[in-house]
Amino acid sequence: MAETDDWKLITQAAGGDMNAFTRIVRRYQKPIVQFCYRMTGSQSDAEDIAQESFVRLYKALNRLRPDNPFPTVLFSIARNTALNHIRSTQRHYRRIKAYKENYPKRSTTQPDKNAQTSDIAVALETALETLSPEHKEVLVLREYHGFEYQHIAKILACPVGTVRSRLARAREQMRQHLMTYGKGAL
Amino acid sequence: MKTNHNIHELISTLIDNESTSPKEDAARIQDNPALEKQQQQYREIGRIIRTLDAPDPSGNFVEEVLARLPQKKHYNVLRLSFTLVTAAILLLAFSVGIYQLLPNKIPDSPNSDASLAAINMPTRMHLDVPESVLLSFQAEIIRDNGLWETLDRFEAIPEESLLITLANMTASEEAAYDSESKEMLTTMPLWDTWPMTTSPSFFDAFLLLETLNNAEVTAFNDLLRGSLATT
Repeated sequence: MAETDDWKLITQAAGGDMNAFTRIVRRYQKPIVQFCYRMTGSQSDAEDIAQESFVRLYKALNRLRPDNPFPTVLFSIARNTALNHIRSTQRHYRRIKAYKENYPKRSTTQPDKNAQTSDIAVALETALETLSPEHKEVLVLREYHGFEYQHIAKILACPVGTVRSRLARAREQMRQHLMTYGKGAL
Repeated sequence: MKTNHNIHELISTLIDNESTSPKEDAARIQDNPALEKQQQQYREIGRIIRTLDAPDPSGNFVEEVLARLPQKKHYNVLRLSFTLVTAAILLLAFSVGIYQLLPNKIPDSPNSDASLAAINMPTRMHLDVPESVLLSFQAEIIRDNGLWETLDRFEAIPEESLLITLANMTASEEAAYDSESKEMLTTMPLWDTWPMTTSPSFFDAFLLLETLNNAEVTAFNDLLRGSLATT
């Protein structure tokens, strides 16, 4: 995901180059929206939070330093924005319902495997929603976005040991849930 | 419980290639079929997570982001303008305040009644000096002109001489103003440059005139008209 010229674009954007900033937005809009969707369970909320994350990035352009890979900086902003949103709206306990309502609207590219994949996916998404935001974000950042532990630690602003511990706890909680309610998903 | 968590963590870090002792950890799992199954289940969970659908950004996502950005340059210009206007207003108010305080510190003429002088104080129209000129005259310039030293010197001389002096000073300033005003008025407003380029003595005289009573002002005006007629 990391691009070698991300920081170059950021420097140009900090100097007032809007084209450079637009390129950054185009490059990262998809992973950020999907991350926010995983965190909130709502497509409209995810879009709004992702946009707000880019606005915050823009406001911080002059303060950013290329000490870390740019994606960790951007995901950190998105993560904090999403957590603020979750805490402020207190929607965490209502997201399971939202997932079930959203799921039938999605399409898949492999109709033959629809039935089995759907059951497993629904079970997994429900299991994901049972996780606390702190455990879910670490699992999503690792499995969905492929970040290494050290980069997840940067995003979450916590020690690597905390990442390791939360990830193990999240996986085990998912496994227990799927073994109980997963209808043979595992 | 803690031991169980350590096992979960061991398996979790192993499948992520983040283990600090991968060979030992892998050997430990291979010796235990339950742990091996658990490792397989962790891998399966990750595989399914990566296949989950997630919405793509809307078609106008970028445009909406750009529309939400703060307008930095406009904001800075507005803020700068507001700062400048505020500073100008404060400076103006300060100048007016200093100017209005000055006459109260100047001693009255020996022949005048203090209360009557206050009621019959002449207006600035006697000198035809624009109000804006006075307002733009800064307190620092008044101090630098040595106003108080000038007033002390005037107190020691007869009143009639003072009025004649004032009239002559004013007449010379009027003549200088007449000769310069045509060019100045074609280039910029008079009050933008006049206070900075006019002789300080004129302002000393004008401020002193504020202390005169009606009789003195009448006498001064007579002298002034005569002086102007001969100029």
